[in-house]
Amino acid sequence: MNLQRLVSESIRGRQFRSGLIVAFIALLAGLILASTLVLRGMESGLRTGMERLGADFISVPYHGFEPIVAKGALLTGELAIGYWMRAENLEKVAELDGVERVSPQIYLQPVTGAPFCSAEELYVVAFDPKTDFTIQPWLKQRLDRPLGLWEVIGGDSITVPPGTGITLDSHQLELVGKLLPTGMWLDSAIFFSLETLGAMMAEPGTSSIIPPDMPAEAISAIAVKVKDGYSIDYVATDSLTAAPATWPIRSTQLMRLLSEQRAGLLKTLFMSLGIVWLLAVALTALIFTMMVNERRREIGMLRAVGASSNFIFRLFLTESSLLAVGGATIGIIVGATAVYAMKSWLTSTLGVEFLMPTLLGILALMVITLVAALIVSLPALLYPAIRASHMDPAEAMREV
Amino acid sequence: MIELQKVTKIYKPRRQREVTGLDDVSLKISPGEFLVVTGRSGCGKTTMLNLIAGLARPSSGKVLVDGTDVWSLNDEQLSALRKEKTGFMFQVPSLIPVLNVVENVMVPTMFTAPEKRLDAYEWAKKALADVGLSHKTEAFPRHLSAGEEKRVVIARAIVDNPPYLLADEPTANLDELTEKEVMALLESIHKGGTTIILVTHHPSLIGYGTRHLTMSDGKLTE
Repeated sequence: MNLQRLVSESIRGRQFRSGLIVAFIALLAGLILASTLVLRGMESGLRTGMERLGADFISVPYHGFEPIVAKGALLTGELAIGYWMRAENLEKVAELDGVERVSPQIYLQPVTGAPFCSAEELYVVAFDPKTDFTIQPWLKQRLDRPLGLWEVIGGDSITVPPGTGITLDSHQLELVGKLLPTGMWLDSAIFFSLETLGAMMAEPGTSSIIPPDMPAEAISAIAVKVKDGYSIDYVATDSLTAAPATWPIRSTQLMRLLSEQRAGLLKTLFMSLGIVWLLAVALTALIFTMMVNERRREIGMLRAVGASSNFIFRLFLTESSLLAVGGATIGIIVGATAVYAMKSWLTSTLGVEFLMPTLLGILALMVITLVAALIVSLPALLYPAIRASHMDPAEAMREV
Repeated sequence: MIELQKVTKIYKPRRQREVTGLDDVSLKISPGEFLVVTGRSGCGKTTMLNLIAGLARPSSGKVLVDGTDVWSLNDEQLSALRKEKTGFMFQVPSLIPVLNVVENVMVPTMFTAPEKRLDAYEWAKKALADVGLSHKTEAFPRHLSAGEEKRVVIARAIVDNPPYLLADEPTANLDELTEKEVMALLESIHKGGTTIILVTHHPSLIGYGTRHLTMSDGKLTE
């Protein structure tokens, strides 16, 4: 008979209680790991999305800049619809020293209640597939040929599969590809080529998606990629001179706008996580304190037969630590597995591409969470053990 | 020898009046004695045993066990003294429910030096044989009768032959026959050389002792 044996018999002999404690700690640890994985996955998804966006800055019509920024809308839902710049700006910006690539985008009138889109408002965007480097990289499956006439790419909110014909206003189009979820306005948009836009405009009659006040040779925005080694700020400033009446918005600004939009959600999630941690520590302390109280008589008896307060401290700390480590390990494994299994569901629910860390990353996160959980839980484990070790043996036997 | 020198124990329960558990008690218990202390419930008998065992600290006065002032020792030394010198029979059930009988009896041997612990199982079996429970070694406390449980507690108290056995109401809640069996066991242990201090509210046990004292309101009288 020794301390380890006493601990193992106590855990085995009180199976229901031990099981409940392990299950409770597993639930908390699993919840904490799952929340951490989801938050990290969302963050990685957004970061990757921004990297995939490709543009170092986007030039928008100057008069359209303020309302767009004020609404934080450039990436999040509302485009610079109804604001125009001359198409010749595209060449002027392209010719600037340090500019690697430029690509134009034209934002047409949104469609409300499109039957093939789960979002209320469907954005309609014309772009140049040959120069584009911001939309097509999001394609779930790369097209094996250039985007043809009357062919469209849809965002994640488009409910019909590729190969389906769709009617937009009076125009017959064919969906040939879908984008990954981005968490941005791209999700609820369809994209077709400038060539298709030209064909639409050439058709007789009026089209509700083509703004009546749209000037000829006009575009809505220019996505700009700067060459390596050049200052984005300098090139963006140069664009002001080269293309008057435009305003460059840097990717960092885009990221900030995006971050601000997500900040509320993330703040809430992190706060919830913090509350879960605090509750976990408090409840764990409560459970182990109850365990000590329940065994006052045992503590008194052990002290009477020769156990020092140090032995009692080690006895309860060992038992509670084993239960905590066991519970946390099970919870972390189950939590990671559950998040992995629900990856697709999370992606569709959160509306953001959800990137799981690599297997090594997950293992590291599991170890970090376990260590962090134990460090944070240490007061919850120490308090009852200290309480047990300081218990007056005569009082312990008396108060039962 | 166990000696109490002008020992007083005052309890100070939270938000309640002070209670004097033991009031200026002086007492010498010589080796080989079987001291029976009787008195009504709440008169301070258990307090006196707790003080002798070093489980409670006196408010004033000294408790000496074989010449050592119990409360001059630190926690480790005091625990070692308890283990070496005293076996304790609590009034309330004190077996660990998740351990079987032989494991319960082995509990005090956990605090013996590791090299001496090798024979702990044999000691426990012998102690159980001494109390007539050889056939119950693997049973769990929930499967024992009240009398058997008392006998396991006695076995645990004597497993490593302490010179002093402190028994707090050892026959409480036992029927007459079982009471006699338990007392016969204690008599036999006493005959083996163990000093016994037994406290009880039951006057019928006075005859088992070599000396009798009465306690009332925390004071001892012959």
